[in-house]
Order: sequence, then structure tokens, then C-alpha cells
Amino acid sequence: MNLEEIEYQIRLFKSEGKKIFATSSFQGQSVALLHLLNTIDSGIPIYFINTGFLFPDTISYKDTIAKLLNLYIIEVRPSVPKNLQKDSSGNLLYTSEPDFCCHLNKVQPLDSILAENDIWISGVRASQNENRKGLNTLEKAPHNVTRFHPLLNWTDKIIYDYIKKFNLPSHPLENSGYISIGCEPCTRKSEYDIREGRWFGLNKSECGLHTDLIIK
Amino acid sequence: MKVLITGGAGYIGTELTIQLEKETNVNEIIIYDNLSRNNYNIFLHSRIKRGKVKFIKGDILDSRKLKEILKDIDVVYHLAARVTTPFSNESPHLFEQVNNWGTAELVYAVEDSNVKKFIYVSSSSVYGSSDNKVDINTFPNPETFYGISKLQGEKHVERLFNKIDTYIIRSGNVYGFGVSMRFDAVINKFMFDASFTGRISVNGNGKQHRAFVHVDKLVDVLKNINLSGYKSGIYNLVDKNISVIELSDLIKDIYPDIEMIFINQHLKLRELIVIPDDRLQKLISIPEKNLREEFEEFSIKFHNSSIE
Repeated sequence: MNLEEIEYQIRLFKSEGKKIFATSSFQGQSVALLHLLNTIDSGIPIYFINTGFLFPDTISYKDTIAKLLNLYIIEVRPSVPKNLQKDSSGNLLYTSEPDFCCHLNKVQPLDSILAENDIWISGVRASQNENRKGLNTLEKAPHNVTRFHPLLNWTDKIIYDYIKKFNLPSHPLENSGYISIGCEPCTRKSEYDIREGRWFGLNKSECGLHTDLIIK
Repeated sequence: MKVLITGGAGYIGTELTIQLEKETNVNEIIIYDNLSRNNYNIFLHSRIKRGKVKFIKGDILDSRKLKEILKDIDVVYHLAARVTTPFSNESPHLFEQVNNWGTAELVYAVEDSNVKKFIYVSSSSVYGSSDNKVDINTFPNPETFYGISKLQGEKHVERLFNKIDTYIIRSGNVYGFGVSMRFDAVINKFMFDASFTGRISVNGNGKQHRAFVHVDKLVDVLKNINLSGYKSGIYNLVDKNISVIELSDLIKDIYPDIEMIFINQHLKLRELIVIPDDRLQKLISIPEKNLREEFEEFSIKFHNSSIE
């Protein structure tokens, strides 16, 4: 979709009285969607899921972008405290059950947000992984929510050009060798290996937001 | 002023509680501790009067409880930590769990509160080792899981710098007699062994230098920095740099009959000398003593308090 098509779709949702929200993980490339949405409608709330395991740099980056673009950000945190997120050895779940860790810290916190809204805007892109290649621009999600993926067919270059055109700041860790930046325990510097920077060594490539919270 | 001390039942926390309890401007102190070391001495021997000090048993990862407690707190001292136990096989994950993610949870809870000051006790171990003396401008390069996790904790705390008065204090190896004292750090262990077993164990060739600070000085600085008007930032707190063999020689002067047993004496162990940070030295209000005086005092306390 180009910018006009994205704007048209959002205006259409609004004219239908739909309640819209967006999510952002505040990785480096997230800033394109955030800027774009802010240009179209600055009233769309941006939900930021703070799992508790993010890099401090990501939180600082979020604060920087929020101030720069004057974003309406709502921070969501897991309701299960970390002392209750341990396995039978007393270790945090990311050391043995990363899927469950993602469920408690990302998927579950967003579920209640879905129940209060109609349209969920997410910046997923088809080129990011196999799962996302199979997504459509509009998909169904739980609680009768429609997922809207405006950047689905945007390439790395389009994103890069957009960020450059509007001179948007990059994530501080991008210059330190990180490509895909999520929770610290499951993120790996790309300099160690050219494979994906998340869940290195596991078959896992998604946290669950784009697999569990989608109805195919 | 209401104060929260995480790890308040520990070695430093107990001494800090004793001192803060005497302050007229401190109305309430909450000790938040999970008693993971099974050290109950603060309850038994601290002689803290009932009234000002409250104890809440809790885990530093328990964000729900922390949020509730922080509602009326003005000042937070974050001392809770998984600490180094030499030669243990403890999982590196536990350091990360408590010192990194525990600190992160606390910082998030503080951000949602009306806390006005945050004081985090970090460690000189974030510098790792160096053949050159290190100071506050030296780039950290931790070499132990403990040091790495304390530095990760600092990164979370740094986010508070432009929000509230926030002090990160990189403390040297803490020593000195205290109600809840630990015996896994070199000086306290030497003093205990010199007093009660007659034989102290030195690892490596003993020539390794370490940076030390007396617990009373650390507590004095923690108490005084709160009202110092200092800018948010990172500070070093080190009082004396001395080699392990110099320590053991000094202790032998005080206890002439003791023996020293050298273990792995062919090894040259890592070296760390930290230049004292003048900014914090200025906050020390207790009388200056040399190491010999401190050790003699230490030995008298052991002598008066216990069996031979």
C-alpha cells in the first residue's frame, strides 16, 4: 500500500465508527509506521507492550520518539509478576519455556486491549519471516477485531528511504550490530551469526502476537 | 520522609537502617527483603526500637507488591542483590534474574510512583580487572557474572537520571563489623578466621590488589548523599586499595599467632585499583581511621562478642 491508500483505509475505518489502535515494539524500523500514523491521525493510540525484559535502550528510544512525534503512547505491562514467572528450577521462563514467556509478557497483555477495540494496526512486513509472508493486509483477530497491516509489502529499502526522508532517529542498538531487537534475553547480535537475531537456535520466529492473535 | 530499603535485612541494609532510624527527618523505613540468605540478625541483634521500621518480606521481582509499597515512599535505597560467593557453582542466570531484571522491575515501579530519590549500590566489579588504576571515567569491562549483572542493573537505573535525583554508587569490597555481616568477602573472612580458627587462607600469590570500603563509610555516604544536592550520576566509593598479602600481614601483626595458608599460590589473580572519587569522599562525616585501627576495633568487637 502506498501512503494515500493507507490514509484512505484509516479514514474509511473512522467513518465506519471503528475504534482503532496500533502496537509498536519500538524497534528501529517501527518509527516509519509511527510517523506515518501520526501524520494521518495523531489521535490513534499506540500501545507499547513493555514485557519487562526489554533493553533499557529501547525504553529510552520510545521516550525519544514519543517526545519527537508527540505520540499518544499507552504502555502495557504483564499482569503476572516476574517472581511468578519461573520454571521448576527457579529460573525465569525464557531459559526453558520461551513460548510461555512470550505468552505471559506479550500475548496476554494485548488480549484485553483487543477486547476494547475494532481495528488493530500493526507494522508487520512480509519480508520479515515465513509466517508474515503468508499474511494479508486485512486479517481477523480474536474479539471480532480486524488486523490492518499497512506496511505488509514494504521492503527494507522503502522503510529505509522513508526514515531517511523524514530524518527519523534510529534505535541506539542498531549501530551496535543488532538487526532485530526484541526482549534482551532472546535477542542476539548479528555479528555472531548471519541468521536471525531473535530466538537464535530455536525454530521459534514469532512471539505469538502474529500467530496466536490471528484467526485464519 | 519515608524510605524504602530493598535488601534492607542484609549486611549494608541493616547498618543503613540502624543509622537512618536515628534521623529525625526520617519518619518511616520499610525494609523489603526476601531473606534469601537466611540471615535474621536484624530482627535479633540490631536493637532497633519498634515504631519507625517496618519489615515486608518480598521478592524484588514482585512488581505488584513493589508498586503497592512505593505509593508513599520518598527515597529508595536499592541494595537487594544476588552477590558473589567465591568458588560457588551458582548459576549465572540467578545474577541476571535479581541484579538485572529485579532492578528493571523496581525502576519501572519507581517510574509509576512519586519517589523523589533513588540510590543504587552498584559495585567496583563493573570495571573487571586492570593493570592500570581505574576511575569514574574508565569504561566498565566486567569479568564476572556478578559484575556483568550489576552493570546491566545500572543501565536500567540510568533511565531515571533525568526524571528524579538518582545516584549510582559503585562500591568497593565492603568490610567491617556489622549486625548482619557477611563472611564471604576477604577482609571479614580473614578477621573471622584470625579471631576464631587461627589460620587464614589466601588464594593465589596474594599480590592482587582490591578496592575496599568500610561498611560504616558506605552507610555514611548513603545517608548523606540523600541530602547532598548532588547531581544525578555515577560515583565510585572506594576508600583503600590494598593487596591481599598486605592485608594478611597486617592481620598477622594484630594476631601474631595465626598461620597463613596459601592456596594455588602459583596463580596471579586479577588486579583492581580504583582511585577514590573526591565527590563522595567529601560526604564522609565519620572520623578517619587507618586500616590497622579499623582492624583492631574489629578484633575487639569479636573478642567482646563471642567465644574464644
